[in-house]
Amino acid sequence: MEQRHFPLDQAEDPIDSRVLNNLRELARESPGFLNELIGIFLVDAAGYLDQIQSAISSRDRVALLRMAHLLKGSCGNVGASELVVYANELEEAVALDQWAVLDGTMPGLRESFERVRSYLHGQLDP
Amino acid sequence: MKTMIVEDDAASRLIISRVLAERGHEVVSCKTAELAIEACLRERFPLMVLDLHLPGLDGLEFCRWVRSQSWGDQCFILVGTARNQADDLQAVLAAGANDYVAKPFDIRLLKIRLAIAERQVKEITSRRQAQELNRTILRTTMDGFWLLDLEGKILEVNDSYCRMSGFSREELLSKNLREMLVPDRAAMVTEELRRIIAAGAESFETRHRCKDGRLIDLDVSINYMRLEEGRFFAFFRDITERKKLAEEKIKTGKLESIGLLAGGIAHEFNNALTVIMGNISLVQSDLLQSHPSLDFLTSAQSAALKATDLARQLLTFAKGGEPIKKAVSIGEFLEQTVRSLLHASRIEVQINIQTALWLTEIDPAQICQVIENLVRNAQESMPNGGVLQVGVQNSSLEDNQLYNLPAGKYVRFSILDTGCGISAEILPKIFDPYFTTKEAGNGLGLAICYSVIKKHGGWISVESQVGFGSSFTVYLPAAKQVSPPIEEQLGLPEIESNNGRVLLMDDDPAIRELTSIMLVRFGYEVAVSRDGQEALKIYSDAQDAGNPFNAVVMDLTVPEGLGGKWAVQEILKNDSDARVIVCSGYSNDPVMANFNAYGFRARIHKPFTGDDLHRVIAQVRRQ
Repeated sequence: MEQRHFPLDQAEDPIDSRVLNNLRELARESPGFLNELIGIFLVDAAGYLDQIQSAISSRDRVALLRMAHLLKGSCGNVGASELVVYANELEEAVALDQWAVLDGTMPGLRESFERVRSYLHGQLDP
Repeated sequence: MKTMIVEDDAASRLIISRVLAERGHEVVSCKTAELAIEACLRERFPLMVLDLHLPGLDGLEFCRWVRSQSWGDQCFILVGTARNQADDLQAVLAAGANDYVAKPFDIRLLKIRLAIAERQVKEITSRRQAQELNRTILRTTMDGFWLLDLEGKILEVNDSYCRMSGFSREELLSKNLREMLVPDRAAMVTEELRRIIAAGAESFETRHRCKDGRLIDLDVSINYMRLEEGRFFAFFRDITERKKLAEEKIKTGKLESIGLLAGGIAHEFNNALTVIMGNISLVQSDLLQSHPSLDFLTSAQSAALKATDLARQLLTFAKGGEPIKKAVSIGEFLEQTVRSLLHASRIEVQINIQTALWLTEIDPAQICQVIENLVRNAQESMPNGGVLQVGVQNSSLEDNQLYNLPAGKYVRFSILDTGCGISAEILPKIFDPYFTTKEAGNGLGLAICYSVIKKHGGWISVESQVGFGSSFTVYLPAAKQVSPPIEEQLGLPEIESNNGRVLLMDDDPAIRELTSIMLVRFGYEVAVSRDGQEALKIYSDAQDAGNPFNAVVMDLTVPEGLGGKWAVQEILKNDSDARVIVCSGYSNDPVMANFNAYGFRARIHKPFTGDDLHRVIAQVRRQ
């Protein structure tokens, strides 16, 4: 498997604008929707990151795979494509037992999440 | 539409909820499959959006659970999955999902998938409603229903058919239609089904055997449907009662036509018989006891008596011949009649009469004829002896409980023999006039029984088994009064050679001549007249001359003149003590039944003998 280097291209937006636009459209008739969704995502994703870190430390493959899957789904919902790619890489590394690689993923992952959080904060309705 | 989301991820739940709400769905969200099962047990969801990865029971297992439920085929399951490999999706479909949508959700795609799901749900709903409607129709229709496979095996049946046949649904579902038919018909099933497949549909009459062995007549309409496997749909209407009524009508019509014929000839026929029998008796009395021709005369007299009996029997069919009823305790009447008929036979008679039996209003002569016919038949069916059981009991019937008898109190009597029995083929015909299995029978006996009982407002039926015997059951309406009337003293007067004057009126010259001779031989002085008018004049003249008549014998019907019914009233106007006897060949004429009400003192049926006439004249003279 090709070794990926984190973080990825930082010049790109961390959120897929098409996904965000679709969500905005859904929010048109439900004003609090987007804020609620972003709020849920940020809390859930932060929790998944903590549990991923813990699973890597304890070498718990099952928990790690489950958390990576949840993170991927959660990120996909809001169009956090960069984090989706990270989550895919995590799943692949777990499948190949590349614990050394996994040990080095958390800083980049958190950094990417921070960029997403910061971006999404900017999207919140006042 | 009420839609359930089963999704553990809060953000996904929120997105799906929002999309569904936007599309007008009422949403119920569950975080786990276990909670979803609880919700499903409370209410139905025509659409479910389901995540595959769930904590605890996963999406595939939940999907399989839904499909295993009785309502499981009535909902649409849309699965959201991040696994989009062919094998994964195959597993999703195999578990029972209808469609899938890739995760993370592309909202536009999700909307398209939901639009497809909504359309499918509408189809499922209308299909379910159509099925429900069909089920309701089949459940509530009065017609019986079967669904059959190509071999004739019953796959489905409705409650109405179960009621008709007496079988339970479970019993019928293990049967082939051939088992419900009479053997002749069952042998034709294969050919009939082939014909229905070719024609698509057919309607015909058939006959099914019920659980209790009864046969019921049915109108059947059967359709063939070329489904995945061929199926027959059959609807049945019970026409047993309708057929019985139609047969009754035919039978009644036959009886009425006989009655019409009998009524038409009765007068002439009985007049002729009166002359024949009268002349025979005159010749008999003229000849010495040792005369060689006496045997021939006895034989002629016997034939004339048979002809008299035949005429009497035929007249019971005559329209308008109402029974001359009086309240009678049928139990005693039956016992006396049966015992006198069988007293010298080898048949053991067992009689069981309920105590406190209700009275019946019957014409004793006609009912006696019925009992006689039934007992004679029973006797003939037991040439080597046997047992004849007679049972009499009270019976309260509801409306139409028994054929079309009105509700009310009845007295039911049955005559059961241990004779040879009657075969099922001829059983339905035994009450038909002229139907007989006896070499010397005239086929009128049971037809008369039928006619008499019908005229009494009752019912007669028969059950029989070859080799075991027959049982005739008769229902007669109970009388309104509670105790029998004081019986009329019917004892015959002594025969006296008493001179007196008798006026005789009859339109038939042969009768006039014969009767005159007979009366003269009994010592009467006789005057004759042709009609009522002439009789009235002769009677008045005799009275005026101080030489009145002691008795008058008048024919009831004079075809071309005034009859006895008119003349008696006129005579009574001048002489209220006149002793007028009515005479007729129409034994069932209402005047003959209630002669007193018309002013007559007595009646005499044609044909009569000299003795009969002498007795009745002596009787009225003593009154």
